[in-house]
Amino acid sequence: MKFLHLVWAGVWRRPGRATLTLLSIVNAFLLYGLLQGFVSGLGSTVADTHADVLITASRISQLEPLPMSQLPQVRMVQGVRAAAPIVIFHGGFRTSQPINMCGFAVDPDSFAAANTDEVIPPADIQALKNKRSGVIVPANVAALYQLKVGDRMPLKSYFWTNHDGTNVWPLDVVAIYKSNPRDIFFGSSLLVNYDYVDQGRTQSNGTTSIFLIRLTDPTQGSAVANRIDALFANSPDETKTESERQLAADSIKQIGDIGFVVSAIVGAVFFALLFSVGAVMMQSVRERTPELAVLKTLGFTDGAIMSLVLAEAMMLCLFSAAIGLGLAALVFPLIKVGIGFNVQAGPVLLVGLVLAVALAIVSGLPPAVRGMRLSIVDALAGR
Amino acid sequence: MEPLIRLRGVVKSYKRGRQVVEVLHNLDLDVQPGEFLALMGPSGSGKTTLLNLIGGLDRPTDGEVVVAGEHIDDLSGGGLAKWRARHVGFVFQFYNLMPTLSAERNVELPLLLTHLSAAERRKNVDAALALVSLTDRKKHKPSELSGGQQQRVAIARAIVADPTLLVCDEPTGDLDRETAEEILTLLQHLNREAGKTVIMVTHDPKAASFASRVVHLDKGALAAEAGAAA
Repeated sequence: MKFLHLVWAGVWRRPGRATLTLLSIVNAFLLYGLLQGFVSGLGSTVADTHADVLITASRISQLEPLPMSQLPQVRMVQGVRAAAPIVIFHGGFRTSQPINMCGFAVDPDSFAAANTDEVIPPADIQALKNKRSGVIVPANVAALYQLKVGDRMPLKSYFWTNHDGTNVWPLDVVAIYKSNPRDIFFGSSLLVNYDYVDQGRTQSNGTTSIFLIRLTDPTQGSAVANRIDALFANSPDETKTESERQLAADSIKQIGDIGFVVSAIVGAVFFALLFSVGAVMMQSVRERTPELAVLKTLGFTDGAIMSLVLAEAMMLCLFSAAIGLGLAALVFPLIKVGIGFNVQAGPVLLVGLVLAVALAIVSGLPPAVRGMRLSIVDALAGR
Repeated sequence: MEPLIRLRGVVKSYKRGRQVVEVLHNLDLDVQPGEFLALMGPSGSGKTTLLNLIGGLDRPTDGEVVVAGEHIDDLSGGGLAKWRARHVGFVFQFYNLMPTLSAERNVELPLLLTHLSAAERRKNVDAALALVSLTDRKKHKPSELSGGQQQRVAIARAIVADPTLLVCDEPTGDLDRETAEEILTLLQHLNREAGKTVIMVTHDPKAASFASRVVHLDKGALAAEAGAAA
């Protein structure tokens, strides 16, 4: 601790240069924090999906419907505890700039049996059963549009045309449930009656978009998926069954390999930063050659000089990284509010600090060795 | 009396490209404790080289250098650094203060290598600054001090750890006559009142007159010796 002021003075010897270097490191760690936070949010979202839930969709595409006649067969497959048909019913509401709202048409009883998280209370499920045009609305959507139970909500469906020739579906709010952003499929979606949608739409009647399947044993997911897909192999409606987790991961992968892209960006930034910080440290030590020689003259050993220069690099990098990561941490709650991702702040910040230490060691080592090796006599003579 | 500094058969040569240049030739010198020795001689005579050997900044190519009973030519790099911290205070022509540190922080530097507490260090720093009459400027940075004041800070730094020996390389070379006399008087005071042994390299006969003994070097060998000065 008694050397702290000496290290601090070394860092701020040229305030302008130190400030610019600090800002570049802050910037790099802020970028790292935000990008890595986003990736960790994606990862935790996938990890939060259910291990004991399978999704069966058409092998061709999730938008290709499957016949409802498959439902009894799926329910008979060994290892299936419950299965529910679900029709994708995404749409927009009360806006010329449609905001994508997730919606699903479900059979209330079978959905309740298959989705046992009890996010939606049984009373709300019952309310949906009681009202054919009913809709259960997540609290965040209700708050956004100031909806309350009893309100009419005409939803403009993206996929389904009503019998009146429009794609507007009059819905009546029967319940509002506490949304769960950790459940990316049903945590904050509108739920409407399957019968209301299926009988009202002009095409694909008697079909479903997917089957939601709850397993009796979560460890048997792969075997059960194979059994279901084998059941419909070589039929006109072949299926592809995968776990909810795999489906979530696949959905994210459709955007691209985000992890790789983020790693590449962060890697490039840190590679450039390594050179710039290294160059600044080297320049700083070169300028201070006579001062370091004086310290050696006073009795500072070679090791002490090396430690001093490394400590300067460490202080600069850790101080700047702490600011950058701190700023990123301030944005993490906004990521959760904005896109519902739960950023794993702890690991992101910890890895950031480890990176800062590595950056300090790699960029500080060459100038530290130079400082350690300098000859007092030559340095004082200006050679 | 056992000399504080004993040099026997000291040879120092440097490599300059492919050439080996011998700067000091088979040099013998004794310095008694409490002496104020001025090393004089023309440029290139080996004064600073000799001073560097005595101060443990460099090693002889041959011969032995014994200071305060220690064969410093046998010490390792780390051992020599610790020996310097314990036994030698340095004063340079261009002061060589840390520009980012205040006067008191500059003076404190040698004490950072000791086991003294912060309070003890502060007490010693205050005493050293009082000795050079700079108590009121202790918070100032070198750029806020005159040349003479900076050299007095450097002297305070040199004496703060109570070394056996003060090694001064042209301490007045960058100062005007009046300030130079102040500095030399201060060094003489430290020699006479505090009993510090002082070795000073100088070109200036006036500065050398403050020493108790003057040694002339010429072409790497002792040329002549003068007796006590004022």
